[in-house]
Amino acid sequence: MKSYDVLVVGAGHAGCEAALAAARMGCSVLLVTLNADKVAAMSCNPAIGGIGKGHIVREIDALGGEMAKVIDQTGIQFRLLNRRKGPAVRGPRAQADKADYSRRFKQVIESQEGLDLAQDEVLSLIVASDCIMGVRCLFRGEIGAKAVILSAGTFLAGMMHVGTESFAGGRLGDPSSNELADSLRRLGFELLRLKTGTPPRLAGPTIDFDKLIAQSGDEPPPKFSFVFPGINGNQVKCHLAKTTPLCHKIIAENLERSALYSGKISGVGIRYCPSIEDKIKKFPQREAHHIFIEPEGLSTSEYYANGFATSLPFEVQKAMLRAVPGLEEVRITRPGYAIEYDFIQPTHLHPTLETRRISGLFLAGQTNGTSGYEEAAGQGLVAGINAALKVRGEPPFVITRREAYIGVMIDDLTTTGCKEPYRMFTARSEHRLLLAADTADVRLMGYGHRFGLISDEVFADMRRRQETRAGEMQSLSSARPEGESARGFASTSFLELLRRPEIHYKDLVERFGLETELSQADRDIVEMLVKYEGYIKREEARLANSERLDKVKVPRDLDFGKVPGLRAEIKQRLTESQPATLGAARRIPGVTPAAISVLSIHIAGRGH
Amino acid sequence: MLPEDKDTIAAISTAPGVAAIGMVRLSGPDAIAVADRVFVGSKSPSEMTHSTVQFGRIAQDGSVLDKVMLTVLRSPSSYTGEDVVEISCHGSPLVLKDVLTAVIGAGARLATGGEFTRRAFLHGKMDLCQAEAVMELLSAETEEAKRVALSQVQGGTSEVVEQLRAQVLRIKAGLDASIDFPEDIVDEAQMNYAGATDGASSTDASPRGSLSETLRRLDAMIGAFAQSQQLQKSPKVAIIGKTNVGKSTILNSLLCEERVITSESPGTTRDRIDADLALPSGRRVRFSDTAGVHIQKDEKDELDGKARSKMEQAAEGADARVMVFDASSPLESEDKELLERWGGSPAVVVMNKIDLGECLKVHDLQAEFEAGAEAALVRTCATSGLGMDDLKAALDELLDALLPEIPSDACVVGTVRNDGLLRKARDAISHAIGGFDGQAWPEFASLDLGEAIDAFDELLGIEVRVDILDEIFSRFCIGK
Repeated sequence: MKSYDVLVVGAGHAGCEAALAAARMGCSVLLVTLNADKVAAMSCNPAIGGIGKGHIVREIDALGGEMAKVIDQTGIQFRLLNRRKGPAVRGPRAQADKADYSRRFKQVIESQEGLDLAQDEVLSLIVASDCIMGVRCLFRGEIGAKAVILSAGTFLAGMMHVGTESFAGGRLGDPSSNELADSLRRLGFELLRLKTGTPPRLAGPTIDFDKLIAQSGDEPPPKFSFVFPGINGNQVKCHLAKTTPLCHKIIAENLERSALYSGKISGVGIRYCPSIEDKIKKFPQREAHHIFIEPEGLSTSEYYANGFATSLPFEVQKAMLRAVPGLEEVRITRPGYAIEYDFIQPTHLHPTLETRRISGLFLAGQTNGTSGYEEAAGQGLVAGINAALKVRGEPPFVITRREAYIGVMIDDLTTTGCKEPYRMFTARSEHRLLLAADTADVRLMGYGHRFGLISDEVFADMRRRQETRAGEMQSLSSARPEGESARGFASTSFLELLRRPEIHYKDLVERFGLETELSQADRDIVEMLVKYEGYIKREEARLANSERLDKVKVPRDLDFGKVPGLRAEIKQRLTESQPATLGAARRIPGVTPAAISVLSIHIAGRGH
Repeated sequence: MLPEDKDTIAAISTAPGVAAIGMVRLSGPDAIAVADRVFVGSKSPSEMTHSTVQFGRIAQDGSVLDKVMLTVLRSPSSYTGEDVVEISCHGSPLVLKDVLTAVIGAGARLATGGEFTRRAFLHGKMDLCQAEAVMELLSAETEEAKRVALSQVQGGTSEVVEQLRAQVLRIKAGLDASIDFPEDIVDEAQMNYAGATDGASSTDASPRGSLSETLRRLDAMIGAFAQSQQLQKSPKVAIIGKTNVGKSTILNSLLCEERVITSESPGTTRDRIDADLALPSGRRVRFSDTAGVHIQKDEKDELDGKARSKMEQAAEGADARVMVFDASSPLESEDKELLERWGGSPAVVVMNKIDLGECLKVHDLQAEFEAGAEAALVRTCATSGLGMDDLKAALDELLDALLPEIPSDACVVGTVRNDGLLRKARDAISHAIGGFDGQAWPEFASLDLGEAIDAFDELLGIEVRVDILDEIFSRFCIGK
């Protein structure tokens, strides 16, 4: 039997990062996909990044992942969102050339030493004594593996809906993976249903762009990668359309024909990515909703109608689109549809993304209930690193909430689980000010370097940038403006000036005569560090107690049912999510401070 | 092992309710330093050796709260294994609360449930079985405590705090929505009128405007609390009247009947004399600067002028006055001056010496009061103690009437802890408003408002963090 160190099931955004990380850490890796033409396919929107998501992409880059580099090379429009808000909440986003993105990613996979790509269907997992041994495939039969990473996306028992029509599949045009879902069920995993949706794709020549509002990229285009030097640049525009009362009327009249409202769908949908049906029903007083018309790539004239996800019948989709100014003559190339799929409640995972039930089995991406390419890729990277560490017999890698949005995400998933598809927002983090996209390198490159995913050279560059900024802050604090410009600011250092909300770095240079050679990127970071300082201290003081709890590990073999003094329902919640630390226990809904005291005494008592 | 506790905790360690003795206990690295700051005795607690007791006073801002026995137990030979200071006070709940407030003001933190036990266990002072037995009990008690937490808050406060909290949460959700969904929450107007354009309910207020409104209501609550604290806890009362009208006899008579909780030895000083008296309602009244009360007869004349000006001061600084007249003689010019000066202020009028015949008539006095001014009238014979109960009841009634009128949209929170939380919320909101005005980045205001919500949650006993996302998605149409 052919055998690998690490076997990855699914070559989506999670699987690709997982396979690359494990291979780069010296493992032999097999990446199995149902369709080798769809590696790192962007099945839904043609964009990467945004607020929260863009932060994750930069964190992936700092840890030594691939996503940022590929989007920098294949993006066709780049913007920095929240430019007028503080640096911690600014997020880069790029429109991607979908085909180019997938092609480029596949090239990276194919050229990676120790990584084999295979088209096949994984039918079941092979498990002995609660340890993963390998998988059984349709063509290749049994393949051995020391660790298996399952990142099956929407393919586990995927079921698509357009109007009253339903058909099995993981994505329009691709089959679903039903046997694997059954295999997981037989192994004792509880599979639950989620639902997501996608809007129709439109034929470009049938859109009257003159009637829409054009949106350009930012100049200079913001980069994602700290590592990759180049960027593809801005090459296209996006366009904004608006729905009309007539469009809403057509939707309202056909609501019962939507798969969502006809009772056919049992999975739970997303509140933050609702279908247009949901929007009309939930906010009936609103006269117009935005539709963002985004190109799918340079080599195609298809457009993605972002904000217009629907599962109404094809004819209705056409009629409602044609009620929108600029889309009067539009032709749909592919209909929007809803898709339901199985996921495994992620509270059954360790914070390494390894399942508690089966040693060596890792889960990542939509299989854990998340939504989005970036969320999937972040988990894939962490799962890949941990699978490799396990194969190498090294201690696991757990990323904390205060270090990264990836840490926030994994902690949320493993302690509270998913009730709806999970997407990242900055509001999910209690450390928002610490987690700026631009400081991901300082926060995380040390790990990437330690795992061999970040080169010595790149790491040294980061340290140099950090030192330059520290030196600049030192001189800002010791120097003050002189002459005419200093009037009214006598004995106020540049640092103190910069701390004021209304004074920015360019004011220091233009108004107060500061001379500096610092790059614009570093200026932004220095200004942020200065302005945030007091707030970060307050944030830290507020969180000091929970941070302390985060440092207390809960023994893996602790039987919560046997801890005296805990109420029955709290025992049950703890048993369900098996928190790794007291901090994680505290974040489980319903667990009281008194219960944490009881638990802390019990844990300390075991140590005696 | 759990990390070391760095802070010093304090709590009332005796059962609630009135008892002869009550104890406030401190534990932690700064326990003795905190005690140094509040204790006045022949030597400071830091000079005391392990396991010794000293008599002294607990003082705050120059006024004595109680006479106490203070015990110092040094680490590791204490209940918790840390430095421990035990302060044995008189058992009145008010006294204990005052002493606890004083030590918290001096740097200790209020202990949470089970903390003494937890520390005792961590320092090996208790085995696991003992500790778990205590915690089990405590866990059950915490549930009960949560149920009663809100009963400390008087009439309707929880509803008001919930409203304020909802208001702040709403604004924070607007801010966070604009941060996380800049393309969905396109313009300022949509954020400002989030409810009106997007959600079910509507409001006219901008975030800045409704925060100011919230701030105003918090200030009203905090102000009302401060006033009510003053009047409920230790209102100052001055006994005023011309010479030889029986002021000292009345005070002595009042004090004789009740145990004096705090007073300097009579006659040994001519300076400040503070005397505390418990009224039937349980309210403690402080007779402040009652000069002349204990002055020896032979010294009286030379001190008369000085005493009179002291009386003036006392009358001015008091929340209420007891105006004493001699029932056995007609009103003199001095009496009339007194009435003119103080007749319109909150007062109880006492006609003393009724045993010597009532020459002064009630309507004579009433005639001196201007229209609108009304004072309770009590007839006493201080030497025999007659009428003293009436006087106390009248004082109680008067002080009740003086409690601040609570604005209809505010209310009074019952405890120092709750007041502290309101102040925390107020400060955070005020900071957020400053941020709005100074064009600061919105993530700052979001952080400020998060702190305010934390304080409200603590006040309301809400333990589960409410998902801000629920608030966002219920109000904003998100979904690019």
